Formats: sequence, structure tokens, C-alpha cells
Amino acid sequence: MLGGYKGRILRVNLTDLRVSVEPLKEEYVKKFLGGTGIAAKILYDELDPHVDPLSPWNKLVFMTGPLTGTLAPGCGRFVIASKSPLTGIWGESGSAGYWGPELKFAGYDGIIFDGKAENPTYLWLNNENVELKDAKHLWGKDTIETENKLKSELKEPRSRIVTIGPAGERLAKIACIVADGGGVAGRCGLGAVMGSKNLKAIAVRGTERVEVADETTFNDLVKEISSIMENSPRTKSLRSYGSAGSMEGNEAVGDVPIKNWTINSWPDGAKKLSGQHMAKTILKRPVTCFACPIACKREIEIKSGPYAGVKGKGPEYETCASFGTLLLIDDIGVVAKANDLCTRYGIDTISCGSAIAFAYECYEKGLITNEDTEGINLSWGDHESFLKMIDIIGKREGIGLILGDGVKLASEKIGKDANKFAIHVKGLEMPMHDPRAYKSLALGYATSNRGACHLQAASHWVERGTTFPELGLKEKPDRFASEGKAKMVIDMQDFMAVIDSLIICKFTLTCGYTLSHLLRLVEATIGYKMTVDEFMRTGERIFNIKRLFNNRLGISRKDDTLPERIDKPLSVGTKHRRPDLGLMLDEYYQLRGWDEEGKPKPEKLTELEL
Amino acid sequence: MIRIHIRLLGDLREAIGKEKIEINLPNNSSIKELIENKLLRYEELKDHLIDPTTKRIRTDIIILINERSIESSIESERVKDGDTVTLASVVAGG
Ligand code: SF4
Repeated sequence: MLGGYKGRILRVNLTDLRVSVEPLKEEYVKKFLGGTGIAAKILYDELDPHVDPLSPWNKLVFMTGPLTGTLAPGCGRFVIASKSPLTGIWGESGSAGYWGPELKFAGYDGIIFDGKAENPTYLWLNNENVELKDAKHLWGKDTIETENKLKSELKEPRSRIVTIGPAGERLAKIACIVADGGGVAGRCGLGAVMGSKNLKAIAVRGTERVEVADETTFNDLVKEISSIMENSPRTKSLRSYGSAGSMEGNEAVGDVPIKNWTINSWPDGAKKLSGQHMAKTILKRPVTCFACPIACKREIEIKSGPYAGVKGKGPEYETCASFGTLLLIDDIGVVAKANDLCTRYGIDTISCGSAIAFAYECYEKGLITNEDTEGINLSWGDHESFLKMIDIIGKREGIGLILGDGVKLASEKIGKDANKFAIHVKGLEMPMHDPRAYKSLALGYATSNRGACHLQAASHWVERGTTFPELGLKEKPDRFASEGKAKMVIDMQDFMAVIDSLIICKFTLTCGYTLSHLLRLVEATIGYKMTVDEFMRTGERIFNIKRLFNNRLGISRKDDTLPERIDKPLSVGTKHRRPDLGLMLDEYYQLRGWDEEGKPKPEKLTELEL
Repeated sequence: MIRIHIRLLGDLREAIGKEKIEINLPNNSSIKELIENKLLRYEELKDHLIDPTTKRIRTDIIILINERSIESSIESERVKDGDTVTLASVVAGG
């Protein structure tokens, strides 16, 4: 096998409690690299597109990449993919931490689950030993309790765990999968897929290192990249303040959604929700993931006040916005408490904050009343009702039952004008960056294969002034221009598709990693040279196979849209502008080689060997 | 001479421990001159404002004059008496 890979995929049929090991196909590696690329190829080939995502016939793929578990900085991530129960289309989510490397150390590049266990079950991978074990005693337990209990009963404190919480068990479509006690694969409701399979957790322990093709070159390169990253002011910034360190700057340019995307300026709120404020109040220490010098993760401890006693992983930027500004809450303590509740229940914080903001607005406009909320007064900025809402979403009680299935389904159930307050694309709640502030985000959200996502392209980084000279992105473009953005979004989507396949944490890309480092790393790790063109062509292939997955489900131009609300500019604070999505889409389809309906043309598929 | 109010957000504020600074500048000064001649006097801001590779002013800092963000070049953007210039650095993430 090529360097970097273990060459083995574990297949687990939960219906028959049968496991088998199969070789990782070399064709997959050459064309799709790993991570999200290989997961997409597997699901495209194997899955009946019309399968019910919560039925035993759906498949759930956990994949690592060739760099996972090597000492290349920031390569501790893994990817999970499936047909999403939240969106009904391609679903993927990733998490950093330590679980991905551990899976490699146990000898596997990935795991494919299908079927449904008769009873709650967990998988225990201990190097060569594979066991499906009874998880009845863990069912109903929160993710932190589950992790602690598993480590102690397996007598392997060094094992790494991914697990679902009660929300995933009860099939909430916004349920996430929690890794290493707080790393979260949040998006697309994949926790519910695990729940539907009666799969509570996967515990892994491995001791076999990942071999690379050219160890000397690899080690020299790791030293070179690590030293650049260590000296980058961006590294220091992320380490000191985490991703929420950007909260105030984001607010200043109108990027942070406030009060369910109806306001774009709240400097005092942003300051109180910032990583800088967190550092002065509840931060215990920065923590890091496998082999990452950045340490952007937060460990917090609240020592006094109403939330005293809350401790563990702290909120990131997305959560500070979805549980803060989106709900007009400016108290970092309640955000941290809510973050902890969501980690324990296993709920995605972006979707959860969006669902609660949606409910607040429905309540404010009289679409739901105290009768629907069982007496909970939903008022913007109120802590008590906010925490109660998380509880009922996690327990699937009362109105929490419909909110736990995401804003799209909830708006359909509530009816009337509720869809106007449901801020999503293709069923996935929008992340906390406003496309009216960065025009490329509008196109990125509309065309992202998993529904609204800022990280599938991260093109707003370019509009903020981060350059990628080797991709030809040397200048900061006007963030309000719609013209000419399609090419940049395509380049960034294809680039990020490879990043999610190798797999490298995207945050590292602004702390010193360059494309030329990546190409040299690929050669030293896998053992073959890749040109910039081949690198980008691989990304294009990966992006397109996911589009094909979605096209088979009927996705076309009619679905590449934005919520109506985002079509209206806000004019308080930094002036917003309306994104001209139609113009950008025309240009985008043409450059992608797709037809007018957004389907890759046959000649494009031939060119991409798809 | 014109008087400019500087507002520093996030990291920049923490770096020097101050959110607001008042500065005097020659008439018709550009944002580039404001940064080079005034802000870089604060040693602690250098890391945040200067790109370690190009040794020039970073392209990825957020700069607003009053409530309008600067999208064109920092050489051509000029300030006038009484303007508030807001600066923030943002990092990838989230
Ligand atoms: S940058 Fe942050 S999230 Fe990414 S690997 Fe490093 S510590 Fe983990």
C-alpha cells in the first residue's frame, strides 16, 4: 500500500452483527485521496439514493485521510458521511481531536456501517480485536458519561471514543456525534443515523504508527511547517482567544447574524461574547488536537454566578453566535452552559440555536403561543427559556420534538408564514456568517453539497484578505461585488474538497501552511508527486461526485437558493448589500461545466473520469 | 492637522490594553500613513498589523472609516477630521 494509508476498511453490518475487513481500493485512493472524497465515492456507488436516511439500509461511513495520524500539524481530523436525515441529501460532518488518528493506529482507514442492531450496541476496536458489544447500560446516558463509563469498563483510559447522546438515540434530526468528550461532528444530523442503527458508540485503541513513504523528507517538512506555524501571529491569536477571538471584527463588518438574521450591528453584545472576554472570565486553558501547535480549543470553568460548576470544552465562534447574538443573548456564561448541554445531549449547536431563534420569532409573531410551548415564554435574550428549550429539544418533548428536526421541517409543521423565519439552505441551518456581508458566501451556501456551509469553500477568507497565491488568489476582492466571484468560489470549493480528503484542519491554512507545503507533504507521505493541476482536479472530481449524489435525488437549480430574508439588505451599522445570486449562479454553472439545471454535462464527467 | 479617533477591537485592543486612541495627522493622510506613522509606534501592534513574510501591512485586517469598511487600497483611502477608524484582526475559524 502507498504510504500514509493503512489499506484496510472495516465493514460492519449491524443487523447480523457481522464484521469484515476489506482492502482500501487503490482506484479510490488515486482518484479520491481519502476522507470526504473516498466516503463520497463509497456512498455514491453503494447507496440506493432513495433510501430513508433513518432506515437500516442507509450507510454511515467514518473516514480518515492519508495524513491522519501522521505528525503533520493539524492532521487529527476525521470525516463522517451518510445520507442526511436533516436534508435528505449528501451529508457530511467532521471533527478534530484524537479519534481519527487512533483509528489509523488500530489499523484502519475507515469504517462502513450498515443495517440496524436489534439492541443498543457499541463497537470496540482494540488493535486487531473487533467486538460488537451490548450498550443497553449506556443507552440514555449523555455523551460525557458514556465516554467516561466506556473508558473505565474497557480498562483503557487511553482509548478514544465517539458517541451519540440522548438526542441521537431519539432520532432528533439535528443530533450530532461527539468525539473525545467535546469534539463535535455537528452538521447534517448524523447522530440520528447512528441512533437509528442502535449504534451508541465506537471505542478505539491502537498502537501501530502510520508509515510514510519518505520519512526523512517528511520529518524535515514537519519541522519546517511547525516552525512557521509556531511563529505565526495568527497561531498566537487562535491559541489566546480561540475562533471566537474574531467575533468583534466579524460584527464590525456585518458578518455576525443577530436576532435571527434581522439585525447586523451589536458591538456591545459581540464584545461580551468574544474570545477575548472568554479569556478574561471563564477560560481555564487552551487545548489542542492531535499534533497541532495551534491549540484553538477552549477548556472552560465557571467558578461563580448562576452557572458555577460548568466546566469542560468551551464554545467556539459558531456557538457564541448561534447561542449568543442570534438570540440576543450577551452572557458568555449561559452560552457555555448551553454548549455543555448540547454536548451532553449530542445536539448540533448551529442548528439548535437556529431552531430556537426560529421558535422565538414564530412566538413573537403569534404563530406559536404559550399553548404550544407549554407555558414557556419565549423572549429574546432570556436565559431561562433558552436553556429550557435545549432541554426539551434534547429530550424530544413538547415543541422540542419538532424543533429537534430542524427549522425546515418545523416550519412546514407550523405552517402559515413560518417558512420566512426558517433560515436554511436545502434544510441545513445557515452557519454564523452573513452572505450579505461577503457575497461569495451567498454562492457558496447555495451550491454547497451539504446545504448551507461556510467551510466547504471558506471563500469569505479571501474576501477578508487571506491570499492563496498558488491558486491565483493574490488580491483581496471587493466583498460586496457579485461579478467575478464564481471562479474564486469554485477554486476554493475544489481546494477545500482536497483538504477534507487528506484531511487537514482548515484553521491551519491561515497559520502558515501553503499549497506547496501540501504538495510536498503528499509526496513525502503517499509517495507520488502531485501537481497543482492534479490536486485541484482531484478536488473538482470530489465536489462533482457529491453533486451527482444530490442530482440523483432531484437537486437542481431550483434548490441552489438562499432564504428570502437574505435577499433583503440590512442597513444598520455596516451597510449590507443584496447578493446577486442569479448572476453568480449563471457564471458558476458555466465555469463548472454544468448545464442550466445544475447537472454536470457528460463531457465534464468524462473529463473528470466519473 | 486633523484629529482621528481610533477604535481597536479584539486582539488589537488586548495587545495594547486600550480600545480608543486619539491621534493627530497631517491633512489628507491615507490609512497606510495612519498605520505606518502612528499605530506601528505601538510595538505590540506590529505582529498584528505586519505580514511576517512580505513585511508589509497585512491584507487581512478589517479597517472601517466610520461605518464603511475599506475595500480598496489603503494608499488611496484618506481620512478627514473627526473620522473614527476601526481596526480588527480576524483569524480563520468558526
Ligand atoms: S487548529 Fe484548532 S481545531 Fe484545528 S486541529 Fe488545531 S487545535 Fe484542533
